Amino acid sequence: MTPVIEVEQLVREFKSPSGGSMQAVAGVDLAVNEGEVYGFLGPNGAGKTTLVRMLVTLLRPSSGTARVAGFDIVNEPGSVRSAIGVTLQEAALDPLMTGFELLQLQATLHGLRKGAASAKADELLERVDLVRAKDARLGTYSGGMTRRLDLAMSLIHEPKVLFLDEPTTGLDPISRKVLWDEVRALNHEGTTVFLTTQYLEEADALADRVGIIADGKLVAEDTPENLKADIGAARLEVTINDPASHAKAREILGGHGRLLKPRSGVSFFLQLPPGDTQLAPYVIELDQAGVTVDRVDLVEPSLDDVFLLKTGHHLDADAADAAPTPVP
Amino acid sequence: MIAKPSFIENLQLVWALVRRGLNEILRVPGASLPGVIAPTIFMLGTYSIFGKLALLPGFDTSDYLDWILPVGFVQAAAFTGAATGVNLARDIESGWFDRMLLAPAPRWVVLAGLVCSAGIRVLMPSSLLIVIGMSVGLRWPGATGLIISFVTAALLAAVMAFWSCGLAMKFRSQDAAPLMQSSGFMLMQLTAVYAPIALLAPWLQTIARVNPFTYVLDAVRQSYISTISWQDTWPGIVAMVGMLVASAWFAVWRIRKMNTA
Amino acid sequence: MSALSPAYIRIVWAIAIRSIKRIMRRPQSLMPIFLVPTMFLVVTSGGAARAINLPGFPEVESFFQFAIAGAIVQSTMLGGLMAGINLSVDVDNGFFDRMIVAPVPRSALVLGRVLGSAAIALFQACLYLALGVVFGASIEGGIFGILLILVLAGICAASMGGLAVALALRAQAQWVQGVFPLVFVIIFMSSAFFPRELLTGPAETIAGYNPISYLAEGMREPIISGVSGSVELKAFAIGLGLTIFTTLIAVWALRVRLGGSR
Repeated sequence: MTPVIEVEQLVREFKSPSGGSMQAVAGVDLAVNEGEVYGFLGPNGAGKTTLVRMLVTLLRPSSGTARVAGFDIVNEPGSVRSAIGVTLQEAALDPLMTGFELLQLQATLHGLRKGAASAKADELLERVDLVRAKDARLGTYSGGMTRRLDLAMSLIHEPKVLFLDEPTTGLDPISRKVLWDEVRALNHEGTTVFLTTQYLEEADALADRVGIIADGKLVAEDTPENLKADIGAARLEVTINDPASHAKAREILGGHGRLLKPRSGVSFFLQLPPGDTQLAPYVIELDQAGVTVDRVDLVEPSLDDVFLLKTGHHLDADAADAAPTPVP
Repeated sequence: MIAKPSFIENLQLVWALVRRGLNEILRVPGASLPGVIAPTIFMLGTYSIFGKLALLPGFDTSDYLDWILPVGFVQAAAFTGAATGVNLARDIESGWFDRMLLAPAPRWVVLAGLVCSAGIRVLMPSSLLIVIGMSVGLRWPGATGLIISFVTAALLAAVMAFWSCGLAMKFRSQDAAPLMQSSGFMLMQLTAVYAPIALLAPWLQTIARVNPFTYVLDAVRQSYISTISWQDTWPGIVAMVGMLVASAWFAVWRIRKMNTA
Repeated sequence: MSALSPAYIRIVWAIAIRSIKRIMRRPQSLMPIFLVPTMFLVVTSGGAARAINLPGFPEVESFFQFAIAGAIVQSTMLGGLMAGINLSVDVDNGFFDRMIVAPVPRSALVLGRVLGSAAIALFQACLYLALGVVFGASIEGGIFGILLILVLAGICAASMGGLAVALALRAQAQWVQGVFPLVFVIIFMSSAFFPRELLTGPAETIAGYNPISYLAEGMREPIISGVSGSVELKAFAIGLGLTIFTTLIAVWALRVRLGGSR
């Protein structure tokens, strides 16, 4: 397979407020193959947006090289721009223009003639389900509608590569689902997608491969499955309301592996050995010891676990609440 | 893959960007009102206050209205040019301008779209100025005089738009707005605004003589206070061309540097 | 709480101090109220320098000396307007509601703002007088004249402040901003920049009815010719009347805003 995006030792420095310089992107190498969905995962401030802005020619790298669709991002920016579609993090659209007008303008910006531009605009409005809102001004659109129009605008010239910078940040779950389906459909039609996100589920749900970025460096890169397999084992989540049984269960299960700090007072985790995904033997053992178990779940490793393993901290505050930390 | 756009296609794109720029006026009429009426208010106010200055020996006209009204075209141009820069700064802040920069269209097309919309927008305050001026007794400057006035206003608005857009691209923030607004205002004020150059305080005479706005203003003013002569016109043309070249160079330089922040 | 009780005065004082502090902590917000009048002062002094040769123009050293009072009027009116703009910001972000629910007399909320802008006006007037002296203008009225100018500057800001506060309480923020150009119209239609007898067009008639004319003349006389008494007294009386009038409008606007509750 041919790489559509090739990044070598890309660095971007900014002047830091204290006077020195800091590297927002500190030497990243990566390659994205044709037809792939590549998920770029990292917390706020990790360097995701800086990397994307360099790849889409909005920001000149401090050092290193990158080619997108076969063109050098520094020396052939015009060719790169023709080959890519971009939706940036803040979907800034002119609130005074209608959806149809915005698509038409975008088409003109990409060199489509008037007739072709209108036809293409109508086709895309259909595709993102905005036909009824086509003549309404953007100021009246909801967040989800705006993102969908933004996506449509980035597709107007049928780009080979699509860059989506945090496409669903701030969207409600339903709008997010709609956008995910659209990205899958596009990928199915052959578009390579480079997607940044701070949501694990998003990378897990969409990406063929995931790169994890922290402090400007790529700390891990693989398929979501392999990354999770690296962590290896699943966990058993045990919930017991009765305090006496709870203590007894911890004593019994503690003999099988490491216990992890409870999410709430009445449940705790048992880290299972790699490859072990059987929950029945543990339940039977507890039952035989006379412990009444209220609930038992098998929890598959998540990308947050990968993130925790590779960087030493959780992806975001919400995940930190939900995911376990080792019992001291 | 789409082929490299032709010149005609680029012009169509300029027009599309101009159309978008005009939305500010057509779709939110209230917001542009202050900019449209300000030159007229300034003209009427200055006329009311300093009208008797025309009685001074050395004044080329007996009616101060004929003297002060042409300043309104310069002011309208300065206001409109600055407003174009402020709007661009807003578009840069919001991320809208990234979209323009992501297009494969040449950079000059994007700049031309901004600057041409300023040149067209300035026709609104200019028209109001001339209509109100005529209704309070302005001497008819003649068709040629009127054409010179409007063309000058449009070109000067382009100069100030180039300059303000360059500033917007440098600072990337609406905080630079006072700089855009005051630079045009000061250039306009440091000419022979209120009285002929010989009647100004000596320090202002010195500044006015090196200020290109003085020569542009003189070229517009001649048809209101006397007759059009080549001798009063060519310095204005030279000044205008010089300012256009310099400001366009500045804007092109800044747009090329947009990706280095 | 009676209007002159110590508690009432303490509240007015606290609100006035807050509005002063707030402006002083964002010095850039002062830019327009100093920059615009200063630019006007500079360019008109240079551009209308020969106006002093016009028949009927008062005896002055220079047009610059004549124009200082106009700059003070313009600057203090814009300063008063800022009191309204700051209040509308408070209204928008909910801070004002917090003050409303406090057991504070309604009129104290308004009076504090108005007095705050008057206090800043003293600073503005001093600045322009100093600027005048530095660039060679003499203040003919001496120390007593300067004190009179300060009092009138405070009254000028307070009268505009009352109007701006009223607007802020009844209208939306952008409307208060929209008054900015109106201030220029009011000044253009007064004798703040030129002798009343030498104005032309609509200003010729309107200036005589414009209270700002009298305030400007009251501040100008101590600068260009010394204190005569009558001009200053007229300015004081008209200015104070205007201030009381606009402050009452502001108090009324507050009452209406609160739906008549006290």
